[in-house]
Amino acid sequence: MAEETRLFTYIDAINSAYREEMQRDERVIMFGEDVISMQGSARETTGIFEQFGPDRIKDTPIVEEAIVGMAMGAGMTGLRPIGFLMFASLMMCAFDQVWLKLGCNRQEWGYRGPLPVVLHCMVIGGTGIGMDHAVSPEALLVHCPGLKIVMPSTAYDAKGLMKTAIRDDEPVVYFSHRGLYFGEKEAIPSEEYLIPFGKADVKREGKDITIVSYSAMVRKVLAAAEELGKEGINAEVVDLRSLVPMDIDTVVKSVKKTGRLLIVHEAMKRGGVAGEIVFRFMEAAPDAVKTMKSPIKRLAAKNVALIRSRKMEPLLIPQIQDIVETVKGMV
Amino acid sequence: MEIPKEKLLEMYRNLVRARILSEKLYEVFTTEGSMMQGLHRGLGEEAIPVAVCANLKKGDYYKPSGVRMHPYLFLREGFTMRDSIASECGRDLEKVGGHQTYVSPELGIIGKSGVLGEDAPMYVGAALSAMVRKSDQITIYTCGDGTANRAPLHESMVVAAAWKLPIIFMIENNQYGMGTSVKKSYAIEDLSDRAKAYGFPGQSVDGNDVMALYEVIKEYTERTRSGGGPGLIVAETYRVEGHMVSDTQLYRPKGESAEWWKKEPLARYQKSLMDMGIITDKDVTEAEKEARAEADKAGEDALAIPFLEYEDYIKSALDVL
Repeated sequence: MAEETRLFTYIDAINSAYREEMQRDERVIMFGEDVISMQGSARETTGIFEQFGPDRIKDTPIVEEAIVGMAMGAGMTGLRPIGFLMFASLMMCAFDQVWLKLGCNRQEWGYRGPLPVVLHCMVIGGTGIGMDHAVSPEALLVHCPGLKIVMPSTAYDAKGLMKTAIRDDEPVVYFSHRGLYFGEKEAIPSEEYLIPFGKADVKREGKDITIVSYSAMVRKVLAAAEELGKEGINAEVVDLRSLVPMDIDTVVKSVKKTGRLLIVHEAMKRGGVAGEIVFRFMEAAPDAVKTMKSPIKRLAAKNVALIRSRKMEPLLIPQIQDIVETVKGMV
Repeated sequence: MEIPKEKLLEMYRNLVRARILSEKLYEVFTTEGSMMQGLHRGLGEEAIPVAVCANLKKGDYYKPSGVRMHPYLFLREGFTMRDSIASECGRDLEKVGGHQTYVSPELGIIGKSGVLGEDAPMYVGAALSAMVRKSDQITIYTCGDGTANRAPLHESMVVAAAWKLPIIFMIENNQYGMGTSVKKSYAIEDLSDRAKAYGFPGQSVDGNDVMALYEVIKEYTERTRSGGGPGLIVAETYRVEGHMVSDTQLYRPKGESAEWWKKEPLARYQKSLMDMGIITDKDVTEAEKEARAEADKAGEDALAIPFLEYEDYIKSALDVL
């Protein structure tokens, strides 16, 4: 292991962010289903009980509504809770808690104090597990007034964004992607770093087309960009990292350079975040729209439920080849 | 248990004040320009918040039942009748240096949910927070018989029991969940039977009897405060009016309300205290006069507070793109 950097998988990075923040601030606590007994859904919480003890991390019964509501109540009364919800689909059980209580009511009530709550759950498209586990519900939450939404695509981002989420005084929904958990290791600085929300990251520079994406789909977009590069098409890849707040300036800057825009996400197309990204782009840069070299396009999951089938799912969610072909049709 | 005379008198004065607020709220509701959004009154159910507040310590968390009972939060330290009336009329209490309507963690209230019962887990969170912070604060979460059937109440009681949290659940059984009689929505007679299934003690009590309520709540709060974990109290009372002012009450048997009104808490408590020689007619007149003056001033002051301004709301709501 090198002095300045260590090698981390995506999930190691999240675990390390948890530990550093729990070490830093004793008000940070976490609870959720099997966070101790099974170390989270896939080792998110390994070692935390051993390091911090039973006051700081708790296994809950299977009570999704209570997990979110308790996080809110504890967050208003002096703690900084992380509610762990395992699958993003389980958040549906707590929709009132997430959307109306955490996202709306505090504004409605005129509550101006801190509400430092992190909800962490994972999206898991790509394993053929079916909609009850694999739904990617970010668009539903982007539509909510008072939630910040984070969806990292690399270990480096996952750590820096989780640390920011825990220190934020507003509620943050943090979606990790199961498809990235045990991917290749990345070098991560051993000194502390945070990544601010609302700062997109240009993951690959290019001049022919801007591809905007987030979460695991960024990996597919980058792979597609490599393929396109072999054919002389140079794609710029913008990873939004956080959807609320959304860094539209980086998108505008990139599209002004490339003249083309494609948005790719894993969630369903109808009502998906791509629509919001495009409109935000057009509002921010109406002139750039007029001089674009091709119409804006989006690639997203088909407008159907993800079936529980490893064979079917790849046909429903955009794949590398879909991205390659769509780009070729645009340039 | 002997309730100290001072406590009895304090609860008497508070019950009179609560009753007069019930009346004042209707007056304000019908006042031109008050802009009260609607009115769900707790008339006849005032003994419950009075007995709860008589058992709370500063810093404890208390959520009264539904929209109906929140105005009685003025019985807690830090709140006034003016705040309650102003909150019901959408006035900006921040502007007059007040707290933030019915949300003020330092005064023990962390909000309420219009989707009934969805606030229960938040109060379990407050109880968890008190436990983790090693504070001796307790939480009393109150809801109606209708709300008590909702899923978040179940989840809340499950977690509170599993973790032995310092929280008391209270069901105000006022016999109706909006228009549906409790007889239609429960297969049990005594709602406190449910406590056994969760693994904590439960008890029903006459919710129109101030002294009986006080004694049960005292026993439960002392137990919970000393680490005994959660409890369930069911206060049997009656909603003598409709769910809200516009409710035509077609569901209610004729005469039922009048029969229950005979058992309303104020007259009963007043009589008991007189029989015990604790108050006289003169005390009654004085208490009413004082409370009415307080309510009149509170009404005037509340309506003099400006409405929340558009710009202030947008700014406070943090419009994040």
